[in-house]
Amino acid sequence: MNERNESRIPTLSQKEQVVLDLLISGGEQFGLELVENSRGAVGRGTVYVTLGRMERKGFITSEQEPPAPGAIGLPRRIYRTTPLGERALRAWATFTRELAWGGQA
Amino acid sequence: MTSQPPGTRLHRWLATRMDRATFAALIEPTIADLQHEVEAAGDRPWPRRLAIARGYAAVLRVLAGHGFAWGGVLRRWGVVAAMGLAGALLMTWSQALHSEARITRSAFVFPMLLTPLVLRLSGAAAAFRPLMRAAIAAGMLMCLFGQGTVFIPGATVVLNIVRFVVLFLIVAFFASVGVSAAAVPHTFFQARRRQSIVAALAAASAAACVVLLRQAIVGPYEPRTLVAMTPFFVTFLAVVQLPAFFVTFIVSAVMSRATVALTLVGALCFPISTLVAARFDGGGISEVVGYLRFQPVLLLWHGLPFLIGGAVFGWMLARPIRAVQVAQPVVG
Repeated sequence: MNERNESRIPTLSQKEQVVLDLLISGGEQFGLELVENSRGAVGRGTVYVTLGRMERKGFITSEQEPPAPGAIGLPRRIYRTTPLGERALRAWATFTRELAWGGQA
Repeated sequence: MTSQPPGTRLHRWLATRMDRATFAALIEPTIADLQHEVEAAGDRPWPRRLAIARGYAAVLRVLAGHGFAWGGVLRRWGVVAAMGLAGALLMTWSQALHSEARITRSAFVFPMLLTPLVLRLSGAAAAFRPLMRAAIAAGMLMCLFGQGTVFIPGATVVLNIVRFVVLFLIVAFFASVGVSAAAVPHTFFQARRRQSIVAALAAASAAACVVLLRQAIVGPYEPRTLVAMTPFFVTFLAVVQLPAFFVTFIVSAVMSRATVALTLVGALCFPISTLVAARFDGGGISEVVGYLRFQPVLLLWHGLPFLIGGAVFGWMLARPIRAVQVAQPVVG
């Protein structure tokens, strides 16, 4: 089942597009920053599910933030796009544009 | 006293109870966000409280949306709550419709027998102890919601304690029967076969529910129309019939190697239980014969759970028996 999924062309949901867009335009960000910057497009209850899925697809990578001096809370994860993620967003934009043109023709 | 950031205790508690991958991917970053938001709010009380509330709400949303699908413990207790409440509904329903003890007992016992099987099939628990704890919890939930409170307010303390102990023993007994069926480490109970057993039991339960519904619509209880139709009696009689079934089946297996043929033998063996049930119901031999002659549709209807059960058992046993036959061919 997984092998079959992996051999498929990766798809891009609307939330994933928003996340990729934000990460490309704003650089690396934390999950909560993505929620705030998305203006309601990505919620706090779903952001990490979306990010996890995108990481499995290879669109983004993440790493733990370096421990700040005096910090007592859990370390957060910082997310950034991969070249594949950037290509996927560009391809998706071309694809939807082509479809829109096709619809007008 | 050292002050801990908010969410630390929840983090510790969930860490031991959730699937590791889900916890790391979803819960840990959400709690980290909560702690950083609170830290960013500084010492101002209202922004701090707001950050805490928003953070915990986010954790709850994540748990509600994704915990059930991935978290073993949440799934287990979700199943327990669902079975307990469904059992309580079934009990209340049956008690409202009938004073017939078989029906009310079946409504009480059946969900408890089913709980460990559902837990095994859903992958929520597999070991004996968690299954036992969950089945007992489902049973006690049924007592709590299906029979009013476990404690009767007007009765003496001693009577209440005795009642509780008796209820608990009944629940523990039937929970252990269900758990034994679900936890036997044998190929007979491989996933697909367990599913078949649950399917047969579910079919019997559905048939009993149909009968209960019919009674609710058409009128009062007629003794002879409910022969052997309650899930408890279906289960009980199936167990009673198994020795006779096995002997017939093994004799047939020596004569035939075809899975279909053996399945049919299984299916034909089990209507015998209906006759036993008719005898149990208080009728003499002549009444049982009359029942066979004049009520063929009812006979089919009453025998349906056994027919399904027999076919399932026949199919389940055909393959291992064939495997033995292939290993040790019958000479003849």
